[in-house]
Amino acid sequence: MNVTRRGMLRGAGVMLALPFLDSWRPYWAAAKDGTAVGPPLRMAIYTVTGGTVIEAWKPAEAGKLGKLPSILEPLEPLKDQLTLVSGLSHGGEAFGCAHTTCARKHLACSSPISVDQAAARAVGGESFLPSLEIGMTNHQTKFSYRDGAALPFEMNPHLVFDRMFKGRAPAAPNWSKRQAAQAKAVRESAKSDSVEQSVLDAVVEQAQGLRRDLGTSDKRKLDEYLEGVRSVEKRLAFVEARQKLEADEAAAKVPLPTFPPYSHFEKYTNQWMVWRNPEMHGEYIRIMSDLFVLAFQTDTTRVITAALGEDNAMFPGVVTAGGELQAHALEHNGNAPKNQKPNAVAREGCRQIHTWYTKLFAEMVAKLQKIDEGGSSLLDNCLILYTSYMADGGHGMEDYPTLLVGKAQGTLKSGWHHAYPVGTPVANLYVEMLHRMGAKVKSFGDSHIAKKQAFDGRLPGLG
Amino acid sequence: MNFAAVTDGRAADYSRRLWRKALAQIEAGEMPPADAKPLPEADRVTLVRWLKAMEAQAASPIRDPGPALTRRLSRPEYNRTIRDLLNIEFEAGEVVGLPDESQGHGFSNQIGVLDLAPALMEKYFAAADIALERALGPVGAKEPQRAVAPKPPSVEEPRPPEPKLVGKGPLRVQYKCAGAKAADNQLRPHVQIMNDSREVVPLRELTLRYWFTADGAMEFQHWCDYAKVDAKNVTRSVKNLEKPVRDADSYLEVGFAGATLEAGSGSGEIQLRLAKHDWMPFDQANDYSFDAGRTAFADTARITLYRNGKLIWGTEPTGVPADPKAVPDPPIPTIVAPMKKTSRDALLFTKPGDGVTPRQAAGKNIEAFAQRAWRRPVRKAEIDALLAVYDRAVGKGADFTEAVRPALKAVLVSPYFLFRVERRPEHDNSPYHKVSDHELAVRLSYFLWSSLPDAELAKLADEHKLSDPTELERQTRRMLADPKARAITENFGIPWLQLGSLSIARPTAEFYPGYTPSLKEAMYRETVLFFDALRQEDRSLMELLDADYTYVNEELARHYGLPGVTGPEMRRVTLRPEDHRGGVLGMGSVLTLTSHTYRTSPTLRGKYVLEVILGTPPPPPPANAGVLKDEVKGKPPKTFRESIARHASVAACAACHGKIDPLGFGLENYDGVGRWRPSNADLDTSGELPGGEKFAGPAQLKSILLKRDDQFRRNLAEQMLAYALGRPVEECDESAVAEVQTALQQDKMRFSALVVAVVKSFPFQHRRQEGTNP
Repeated sequence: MNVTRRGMLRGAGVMLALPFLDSWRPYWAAAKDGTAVGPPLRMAIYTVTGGTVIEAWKPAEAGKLGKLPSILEPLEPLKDQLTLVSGLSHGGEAFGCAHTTCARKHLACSSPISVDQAAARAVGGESFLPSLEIGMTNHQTKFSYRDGAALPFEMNPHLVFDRMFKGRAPAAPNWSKRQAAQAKAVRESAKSDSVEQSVLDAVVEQAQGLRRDLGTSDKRKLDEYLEGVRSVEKRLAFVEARQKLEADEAAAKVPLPTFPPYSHFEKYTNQWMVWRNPEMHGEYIRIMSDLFVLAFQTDTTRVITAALGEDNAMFPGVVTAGGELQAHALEHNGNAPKNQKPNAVAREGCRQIHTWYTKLFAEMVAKLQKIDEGGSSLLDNCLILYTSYMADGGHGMEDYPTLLVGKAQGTLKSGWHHAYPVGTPVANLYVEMLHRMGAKVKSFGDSHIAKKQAFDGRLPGLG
Repeated sequence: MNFAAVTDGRAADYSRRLWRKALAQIEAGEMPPADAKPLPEADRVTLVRWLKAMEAQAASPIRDPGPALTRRLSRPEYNRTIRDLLNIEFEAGEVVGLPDESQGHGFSNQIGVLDLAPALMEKYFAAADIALERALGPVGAKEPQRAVAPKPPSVEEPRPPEPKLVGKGPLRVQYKCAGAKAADNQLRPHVQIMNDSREVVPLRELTLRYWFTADGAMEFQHWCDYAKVDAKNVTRSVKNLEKPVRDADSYLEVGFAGATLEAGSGSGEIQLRLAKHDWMPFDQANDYSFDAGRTAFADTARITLYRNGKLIWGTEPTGVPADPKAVPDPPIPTIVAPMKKTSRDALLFTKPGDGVTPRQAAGKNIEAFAQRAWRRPVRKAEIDALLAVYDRAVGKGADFTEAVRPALKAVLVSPYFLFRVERRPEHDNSPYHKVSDHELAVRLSYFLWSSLPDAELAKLADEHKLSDPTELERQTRRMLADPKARAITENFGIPWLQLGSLSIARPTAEFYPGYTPSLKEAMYRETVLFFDALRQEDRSLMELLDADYTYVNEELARHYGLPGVTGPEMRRVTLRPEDHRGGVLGMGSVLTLTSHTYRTSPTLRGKYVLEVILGTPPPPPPANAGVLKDEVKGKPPKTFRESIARHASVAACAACHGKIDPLGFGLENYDGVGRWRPSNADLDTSGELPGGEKFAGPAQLKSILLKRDDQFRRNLAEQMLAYALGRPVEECDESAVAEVQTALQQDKMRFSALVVAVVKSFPFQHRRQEGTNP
């Protein structure tokens, strides 16, 4: 039974994989089995709401970073870890309201796959979860895409934690002891003989029988189902293999940050509660940031997308200018030419909101820097894009905020402001990021078809 | 309109909807467009006659029940199925983050949105674990001891001493201070009500008051962040004392819209928060109910509790203590909570022993469970496969319960549970077949209840009696009247009326300062209550367009300008014509969700009428259309209407906006959050419908819509069929749509007429053979 079942699973997988097989070959090639083992490079996107306020974000001069503009001020102590890229723009075609289109273009440039998922395809097989999508999104703001379909984001911190550590203890790999052969063993780990595995065997058998009886279009449904079961199965085997490996290499147990009590998390199943109170909003971002750090530290995943802002949010106490406190209203009043000049007071409100976000982000970056991975810090091994899904609160798409944080293992010219001509596709940046993750793609999204395409889809001088 | 598909006579026969649409456009005078060469009358008559002939010819019934598709359970269906199956509370969106397929609007049960990403499968596994934990207890837990009914407190037993302000049981209020700073811009009391009596108390009868000084503020915002009894059940309002006393001039009154307080138990935590409208700080040091020292829940007499308006716990700041004599009044009825059969007992109804081996007992339990969960009889081989899971667990040393548990989990993550599977009868090669009685039961229960069939329905299916037309109608009516049929309001009514979009409507505080979260909530509930009343009372669906009643609470009534409504709870009120309300187009919810942040949008409102009410959505704007720029070019428009009229000055926009915008202008008497404003020189509410019918104001718009009942009926029939079938209505459903329309008309537009006709329809009862396309 097992032979046919396995064969059948593989068959289903390949059948589903066919449409993207060729285009993803380069990513697969990247997953090599060399002996070089050390801390891997991790990539993350940390995206906040409503654009930025450009005059308080972009330094006047290109070149070595001087005193940082006010929104970035909280990152001042980490200046040598920053690579500020300016002039980039959204591209591609998308339909829907302004928020939907900006979100669709943000990380995917309207292509069927977003940059985080492309990175996950390249390195996802190496870690426990191929990628982690966390934070707040609403039905207008969807950022991550695979095969043209939006991926759900996990908002509840408790669920994120469970997803990461169900059935295993949080441990940081001992990278100096890890051998290539061991890593390979984890990837190709043997089938589990647990009770859970017998549950999987039972349902796969049912699905297999059912699949034979159904028509072609319904067979596809069953293939989706089997694909899902296979990912659960893979995870199960992965947990067991990883635990053996961590025992072998004497991995260090990671102390958990103090999270609020379990009951507290119930608040975070309702976005409205977070949005309307900056105190809770800030607490929420800190919890998610701790999970972010933990996920990289324990090599649970190597790709994270964190959406930690919300246009609907209210900012009493954060915004001290004027009477309006809702981010979305401030964004419009501070930017859009609605029969009126941008409202300077509202614009100041936006600036205050973004400074507030950066402060919370800087706290997280400082934590990453403190974690030692055997000679280098976790931050040295990170490539984090701090950004927003719009250029400004008026749904702008040109010259939008892109700040790379972390040294990406020395592949960036950091401590630097790289200014590119306004309109250069942001897709070029994504090509650069994917290359650093080992996916040597030639193009991404509209990097070679945009009106203002430039530099053969790259960003010269970035690293 | 696209005629490209009509390549030959057969295709023409199969395009009835196309001919009908063409005919409608010619007859309404929309085609040819106003700027094209007019069609000579004689030609027009010929064309209409020809199109009618085509439509009639195409109508000759080619029986085809439409595409047969295997559907996954949607999130609402999954939730309800788990709840009914295991008799537990369950919300997979909260528990494992199962995503919502409705995306704000659109039915969540449609085939197009029910894909199955690998990440979802992981969630189903986690959900099955948690659901079984709730039903069976945590993994490895000992057999639960029967809870002993708590001893009622004897009268002599003294309460823990609280100086002077001792309240009298049996209902007590406990308080915890969640924000100890006296100077804070929010009050954060957490409270819970304890019930020491032997009586089940409906929370509806209780209110409690948190007393504070407003420090000059007049308006407040307040929230219930969390409540074990569900925050939705917690109502709130702030009242001012006519004669302020030393430590209080206001109180937050908390009431309950539902849920009960079990005997010998508590309400669980209720987390409240209150801020001034301008978010300025309070000084809580002198607040009567505030106590910074309460870091854990303990009795407080400084928060007062009332039952049916009578003070039963605590002491008011005016010094009035609870009257102990008030306690036995109303007399404590002798309803003692019946010992409920637990979910665990129900699942493990067969225990090993008395000649039954553990494996046999497991088999019995698993079989009964699989049969209900999979909504069909189960074969022996299937039980054997599940017993293999049991065997593996036993092999690993699990006890009886822990070995049955993974087998039950396998049932819950099986494709037979997660999908609604229908199979073709063996050796049947006809192009379509009637679905089996079990399949019909499943179609019916997911249509009306979004859940699995109950015992009565399952039994009728077992006996092959359900397909009998009389029985089927009887069952349909029974199910529609059942409280479970509220599912049709939630999963059909709300998405159809696009009410989900209300949650993201963003009227800004700058333009609409009175638009509070509680007002928004009341607007939402108004529409839901209204729609559900149509179902429960089997009323005419025409009331969606115009009715002489609606549902409001004090805040919403004030917003509407309706006098004489006090209190936070929603209730039905009768409307007079001068109230300018009645029907969904006069509801705050619809009027707000069709507005922009700072103004009304006649375009969105016009589109709403065309799409939601009449079922004729305008085509999406062309890709290069862009958004109307508000910057002024040339002469500035004098009025709002003129600025919108610029739509019509661009040829690409005019064709559609000429139809959409004038409709929306008919609703201009309602502002961006649905408040009434009388017409005046600056407020032009005259409108025009496609076809040239002119009107002024909402009342005339309504009467015109009422006259277009044919179109409205057709839309209702199509929407309800699409919901029932889980797919968009197609060409092949034409005769079914027509039959439902007729049935509706004959039975006075009753809610039940629509539902029964859909159940009787051909596509609802038949399934197309895969690979055939009649």
